[in-house]
Amino acid sequence: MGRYVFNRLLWMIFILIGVAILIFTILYLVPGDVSTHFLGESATIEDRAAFNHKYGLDQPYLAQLGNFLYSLFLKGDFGTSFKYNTPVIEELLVRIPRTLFLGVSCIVVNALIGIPLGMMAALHQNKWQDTLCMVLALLFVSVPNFWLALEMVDLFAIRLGWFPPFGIDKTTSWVMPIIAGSMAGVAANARQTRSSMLEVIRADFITTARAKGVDEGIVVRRHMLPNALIPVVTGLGVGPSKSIAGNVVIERIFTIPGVGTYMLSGIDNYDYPIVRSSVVILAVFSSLVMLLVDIVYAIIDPRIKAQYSGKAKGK
Amino acid sequence: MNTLSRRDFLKVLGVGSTATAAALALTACGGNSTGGGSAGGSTGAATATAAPQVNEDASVYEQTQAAGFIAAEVSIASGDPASFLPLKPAGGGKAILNEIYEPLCDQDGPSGELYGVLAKNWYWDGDDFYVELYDSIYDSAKNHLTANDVVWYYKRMQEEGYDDQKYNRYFNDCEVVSEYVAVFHAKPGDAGANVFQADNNLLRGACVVTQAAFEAASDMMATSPVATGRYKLTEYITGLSATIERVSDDEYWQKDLSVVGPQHQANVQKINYFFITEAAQVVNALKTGQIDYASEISSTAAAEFSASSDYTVYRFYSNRMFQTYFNCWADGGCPLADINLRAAICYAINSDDILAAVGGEEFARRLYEFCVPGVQSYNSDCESWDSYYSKCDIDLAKEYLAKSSYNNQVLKIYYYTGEHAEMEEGVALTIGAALDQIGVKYDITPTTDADNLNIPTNANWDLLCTTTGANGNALSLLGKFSTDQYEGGIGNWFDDTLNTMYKEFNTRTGATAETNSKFQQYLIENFYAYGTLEGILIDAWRSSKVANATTKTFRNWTIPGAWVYVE
Repeated sequence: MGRYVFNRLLWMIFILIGVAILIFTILYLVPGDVSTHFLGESATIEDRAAFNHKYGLDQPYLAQLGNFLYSLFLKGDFGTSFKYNTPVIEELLVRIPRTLFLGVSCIVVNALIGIPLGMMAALHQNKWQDTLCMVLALLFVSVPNFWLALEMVDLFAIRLGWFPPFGIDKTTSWVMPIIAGSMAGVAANARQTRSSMLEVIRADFITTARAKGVDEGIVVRRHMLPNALIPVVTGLGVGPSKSIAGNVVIERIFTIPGVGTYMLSGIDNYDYPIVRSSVVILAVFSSLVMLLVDIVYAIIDPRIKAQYSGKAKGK
Repeated sequence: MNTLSRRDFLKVLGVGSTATAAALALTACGGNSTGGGSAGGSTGAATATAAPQVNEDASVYEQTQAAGFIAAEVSIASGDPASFLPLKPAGGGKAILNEIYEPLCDQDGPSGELYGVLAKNWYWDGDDFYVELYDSIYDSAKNHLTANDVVWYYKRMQEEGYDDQKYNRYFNDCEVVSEYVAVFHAKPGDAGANVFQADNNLLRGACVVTQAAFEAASDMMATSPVATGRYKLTEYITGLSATIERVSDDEYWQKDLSVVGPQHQANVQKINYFFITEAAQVVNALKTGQIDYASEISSTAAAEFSASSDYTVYRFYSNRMFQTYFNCWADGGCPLADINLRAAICYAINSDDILAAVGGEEFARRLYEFCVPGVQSYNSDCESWDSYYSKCDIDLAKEYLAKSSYNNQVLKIYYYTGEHAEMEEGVALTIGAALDQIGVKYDITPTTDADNLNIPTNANWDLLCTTTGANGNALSLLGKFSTDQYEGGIGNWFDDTLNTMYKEFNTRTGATAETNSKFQQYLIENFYAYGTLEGILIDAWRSSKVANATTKTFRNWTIPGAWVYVE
């Protein structure tokens, strides 16, 4: 197991270097003149040349890439924003908790609503409860989150005045972003839970438990659910990285100063250090979460654990 | 590895998720509420303004000077400064920095005239520029600001590479003359001493601070500014909001309030700025009472607010000109290097059609030359000139086309997709329709703001629809004709006469209505470009909180400290 984790961590380094090279190259190939954007329309040719020289933008591709990788991986320097003149990492450290909070909250809501919905559908397969739950799931997954967010603002903020339309300064400010950000996940979880439950529901050990006269509630809670939840847990495990990357629009609409809005401002402003750093940070986070999910798999699934143990013994 | 049962794991997962969520909630909700939740349901009188108004009313300045009443609090939407670094004021939220920091001089909104802020006097002796400071300037940390600080500030700005073209472009050096006098040595001739408004570029817009306060700050004042202005930053939540509070009259260094210009007045005790990223949410925030003022709202929102007595809607000309350049690069094989083809296009374009395409006179006004009426050197005679601006003539356009070398090439029209994308699109589509009428082929492509522009000798475009803001004089509009800024000019004109005319215009005595007109007529004769529209901006505010918010800076930025508030 230890060797497996070590190997995964080793691979992570290569993945991150690959991501860094990819995002650098994509931004390098974006057409347009960065110096003009920052210096304005009245900048002279000399002003623009000085700007490009200061940030190394006048160097050839390989030299720029080398400097970027060296600063990032050997010096831990994520660069300084062209626009704001502040170290990107400082700003990211302030924003990451907000993005994480939104992402984790969305996952909790996903689980709290999606799993019971899927259970209810599976336990009442082909009955009206099943149809209702799946129609709801279809509705949730079909509604774009930005549209839902704007409609919620119109209803709950403007017409009813229950929640503020933007910001994070009040506890109630988070309600609408979390709901709008979690609806698609609720639908996915409900459908996944239903499908997994239906696989387990006719398993021999469930029939055995029922034959032994075990109470139906206990059968569901102790026998069906833990077995059916393994794929659901996998989905939830991937959730944080998906939420962080996927809640960019929600952050923007509700003016949540997280990583997503920061990255968007970087894209809007040709502020390459912001975009590169945000993407690399997201890649680090996603890689770590995926590693964690794989380790958790081994913990909860004896078959996977046995595989690792077998490999270790074999070696 | 210890084994963990699935049931235990699920328990741990549940507890862990809850704990993580709670911990993150505490972190993410960090920072106190900045207030700003002013009560809705105002009962103020209706003062909705339907017709466009021009921001040229000097009486507004007098009105705010005489206001006297200091309101408790106002909340407004703003761009995000992201840093309060005084060496390079950020673009997005610069209005906030203008309330905290002070420059040597500032420009009056209506007249464009300089008035002293930190500077008591300033004058040229022909080659050098002298600035005399008030002798009583102190920042909020009680540091005394002298000529040493001014010289240190400009040199440090240059050292850090944050010059922003204000100093390095026109001046060689600066030094201390006496405790309160500093001298700036201008570069000779066209590079500085003779340049129109070089002094304005030097004096305004800078955020002068004391060396002692700057060096005492751990982050170059990026989050903790200490300055001499009428307001102090009291709370800042990065990416979300900033709150500034008024320095009392006793604490403020300038005791003679009669010389304080609109930019440095303080008619409200506390200003909450919210950095709302989504335009629709700015309007929602105004509706729900989270903010009291919203700038540059959409026409749809304006119509809604105009219908309510709770809001005041104010329209004003933006000094932002919509223009179309023609790529005249002959060596690059650009079709529009042919003057007859340019003439054909100019005579085919109908300014009234363009105005109609962007929504009519509620949104913009048409132009009669490559200049907006608000600039100082504008000559209204152009409105009666016999030119393509006032005469759309399809037959004449076809005649020019027949004389041209046009050979069914597809002209590439680009328009910018920045903040005025819809209007730019309207302009581009109308020009396309004009080309249809004379049988010229084209395709239209939207582009982001740095694409295809400012790249010398770029043959990838033929017509470029874009905008430029005018800051009081025509130079910012005409700058793209200068070879100093763009090799050959943005339209690859490579015209020495044009460049010489620009240089003559950009001198201390050269920027007059006559020289501007001469320049404009040269542009018209050569069909080099087409000035299409001047945009109208719309602001709205809660009438129960703000009585008058029309006072703006020379660049049309809001000045909440100078507004008149409802008692």
